[in-house]
Amino acid sequence: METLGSRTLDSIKSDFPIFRNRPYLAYLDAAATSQIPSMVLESMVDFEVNFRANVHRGLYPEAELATQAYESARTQVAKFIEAEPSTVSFTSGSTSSLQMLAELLANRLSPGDNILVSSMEHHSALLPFRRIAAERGAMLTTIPHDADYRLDLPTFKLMLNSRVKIVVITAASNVLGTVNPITEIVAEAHKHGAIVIVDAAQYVAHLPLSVKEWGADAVVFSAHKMYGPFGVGVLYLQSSLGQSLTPTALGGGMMTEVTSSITTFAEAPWKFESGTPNIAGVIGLAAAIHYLTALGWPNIVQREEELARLALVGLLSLNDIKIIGPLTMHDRLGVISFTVPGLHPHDLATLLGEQNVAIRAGHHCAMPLTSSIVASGVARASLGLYTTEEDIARLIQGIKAARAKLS
Amino acid sequence: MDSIYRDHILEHARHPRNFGVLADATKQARLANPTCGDVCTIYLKIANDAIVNATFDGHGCALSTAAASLLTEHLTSMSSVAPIIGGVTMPCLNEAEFLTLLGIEPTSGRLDCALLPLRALNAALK
Repeated sequence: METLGSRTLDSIKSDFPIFRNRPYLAYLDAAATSQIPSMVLESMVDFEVNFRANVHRGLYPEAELATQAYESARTQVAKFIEAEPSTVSFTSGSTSSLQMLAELLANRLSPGDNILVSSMEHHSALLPFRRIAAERGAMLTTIPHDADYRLDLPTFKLMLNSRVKIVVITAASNVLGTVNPITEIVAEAHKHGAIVIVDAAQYVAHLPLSVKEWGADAVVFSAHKMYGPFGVGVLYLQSSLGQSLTPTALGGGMMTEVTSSITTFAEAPWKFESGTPNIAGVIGLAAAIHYLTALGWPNIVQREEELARLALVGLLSLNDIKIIGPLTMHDRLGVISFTVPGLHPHDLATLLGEQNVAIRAGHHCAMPLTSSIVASGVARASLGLYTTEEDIARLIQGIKAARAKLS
Repeated sequence: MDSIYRDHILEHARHPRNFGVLADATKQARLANPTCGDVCTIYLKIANDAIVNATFDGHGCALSTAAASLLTEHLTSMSSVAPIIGGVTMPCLNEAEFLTLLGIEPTSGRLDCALLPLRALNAALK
């Protein structure tokens, strides 16, 4: 019997309503979005039906309850990433967190300065920083990866100098599955005074995250990739950096006083949260964190590593298949991209979809990386808490069947 | 949901008709789907305001290959009574008609694959 810690996989799957409604679904697209457990949905419905009110404004009981739940969620997120609540702002997702960061930091760039981004960055991490570099006359340079699809650390160290003001690095690649050594990267970048921004969107559901250990200046992630709802993200800003930044998104809730000529901004984190937040979503995120934490990190890490290894071995047993990512599970997630000679990734994904095996094909919003590997993009299978050995077996069998059909 | 990989699609994907450069082409256009790396070039020989020969080359998924094969087969077998628009006999296909010709209903995620050859044809006829 398959287990995750003290729980059976059957009982974990039954936490996720989609598998009750679609029991035949082998969902291997966690890197795009994870499925959502009932208790997360229930926490959001509880808010909507029992104490729906806007936060921070009302003096009646429901508004107090809403504010308490919202701020309690902030405390829980902070604890989850080993940070102080005042460093945790809520956004609409990783993309908006990164966009906001680029806007917040743009005025720190001068002509001739440099932003380093890794070759593994998602478009949401690359494009805002490419834009501010162009606007400020700064450069944007790519840190390469090596033949084993790991970040080329020796080259990264050589690229660092006093003109490097910002380093943007993913904690785990959404294409390669590579987990980057963030603590080491941050330490090296800080020697040269650079601000380090970590995209943890792909990482946060699969490995324990400690901003204290990383020492990063900013960390972003999204709720929907960690068994939470869509439309909520986190922006962690190291305390003194957060205090020093002037908000770019203006509106209600983020100021303490507005007169006819003067605006006084609130303290962090509230000064980064203009307008009414996604209150139900934030409450759902806290519930998702509760769900993950209850399962226990050692159990999650061990289970996902075993399954990812099973998937790697299964894929490698097929003739000619090429894994686009590290071949061992050392510093690697169960995000497994691959190409099958003679089989276009879109054909493969469609044929697998016809067999209710859900994978993704294409460039995975990382075109500079994927198009440098193969123009047609890659197929990607990505695992979650509810992935079973049978799901992996159906993937392997499905690839064989697709190959037979199209050859 | 019916499979888009019906027998005739698979057969055209495995053995595409009219594949290759048309040496005496009078019009041609190359179109790409950057999101999936598919590339399709349609070559046309036009004489007396009618398409008298059509070929394609490029690389792509089974669906775009089969679609290009079926499209060029249709063009080369066209009746001479096809209407003339802008001085060129039109292949009488809009997107909906082309999908009818293909005999499948691609999902929205695969529509661009199926329509790439038709869009290349329209670009060549511009």
